[in-house]
Amino acid sequence: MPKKVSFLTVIFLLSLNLFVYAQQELDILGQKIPLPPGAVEVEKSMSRGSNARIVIYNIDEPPALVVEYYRQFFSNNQFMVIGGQDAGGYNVSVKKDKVMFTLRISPSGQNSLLQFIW
Amino acid sequence: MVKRLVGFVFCLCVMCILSGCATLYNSATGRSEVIWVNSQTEVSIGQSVQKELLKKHALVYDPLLKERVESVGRKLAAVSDRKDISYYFAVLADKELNALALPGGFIYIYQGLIKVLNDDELAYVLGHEVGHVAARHIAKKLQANMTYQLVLGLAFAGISSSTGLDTSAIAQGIDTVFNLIELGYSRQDEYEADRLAAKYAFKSGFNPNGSLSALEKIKNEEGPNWSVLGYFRSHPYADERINALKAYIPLVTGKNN
Repeated sequence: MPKKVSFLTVIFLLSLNLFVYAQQELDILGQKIPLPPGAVEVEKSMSRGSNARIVIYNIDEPPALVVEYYRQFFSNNQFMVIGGQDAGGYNVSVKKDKVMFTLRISPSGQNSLLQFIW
Repeated sequence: MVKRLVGFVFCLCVMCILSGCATLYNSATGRSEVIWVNSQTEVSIGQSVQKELLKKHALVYDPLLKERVESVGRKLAAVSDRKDISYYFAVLADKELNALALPGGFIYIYQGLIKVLNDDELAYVLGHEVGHVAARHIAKKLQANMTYQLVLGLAFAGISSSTGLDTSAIAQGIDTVFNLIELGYSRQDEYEADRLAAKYAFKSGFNPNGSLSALEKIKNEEGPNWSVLGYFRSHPYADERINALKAYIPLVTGKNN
């Protein structure tokens, strides 16, 4: 099982590199955060009270691969991360320089839902 | 017609997916709730706030008092609905009759209060604070009352000197957390924490009726100003809560007569 996941991860990450020219990005307070290929925005909203922005994407890939993708991205780009896997999926608070946000990755059938909050 | 139906079903599916993404099942409240702040972030916020609290209040190092609080607290934590954090119990050197919980499970009881309580009553007071943490009342309160950047800034201030926010903003954020705790929780949250306290006390071997005597005792100790001083300033609705507990305790113990 772990071998299968790691093989799929390599394929998925390679496919990201192949599609680098068309890579989508999310701009969070000036910090560009890449989105996996095929990410489809399904909601963009503003929360009352906390004044937080929320953007949700659907991705046609299982959560394990998407989580690995962001783990590598945060690690390679010197982001500080608080949190990890919890009952609702992968849930981290992330910071680089003065930019902070929360990323949640949860399963949706065979797909993944990405939720950015800042 | 068919197109409309397909469109409706599609919208319904998207709504179901989104609601599933945005909510998390909270076993303490029995509800699915929108909670963005993950547990480790909540603990980091608690660490930031704790540093400031301990600048204003000294800890009591009396080993007997410390062991009494920790022993009761450990039993309650073991049966709580939330086990993804480590609860921390300590006594503050203050004569006031009060207790408080910081985000992330840092629970403090004032020396003035612990002195007037027996162990069943202490289990209720600590269980009430464990209940606020387990039900994530604090996290939801921060999320609803502070800008999200400030919530995250406090979390990163707990683990690093590089916070993303300037120090005055962090100090202001910590003051806001204290004010939110001081102002108390909603009536619904207080009742919920009381129910959880009675449940945790019973499950960990204490008498849940200690809740009734604790509230009466605190009310009498604080005298005629009980509604504006000490415990009931941040934990209001004393008489209503006593009545609600009288109705709830038999449900927990299974003794309806």
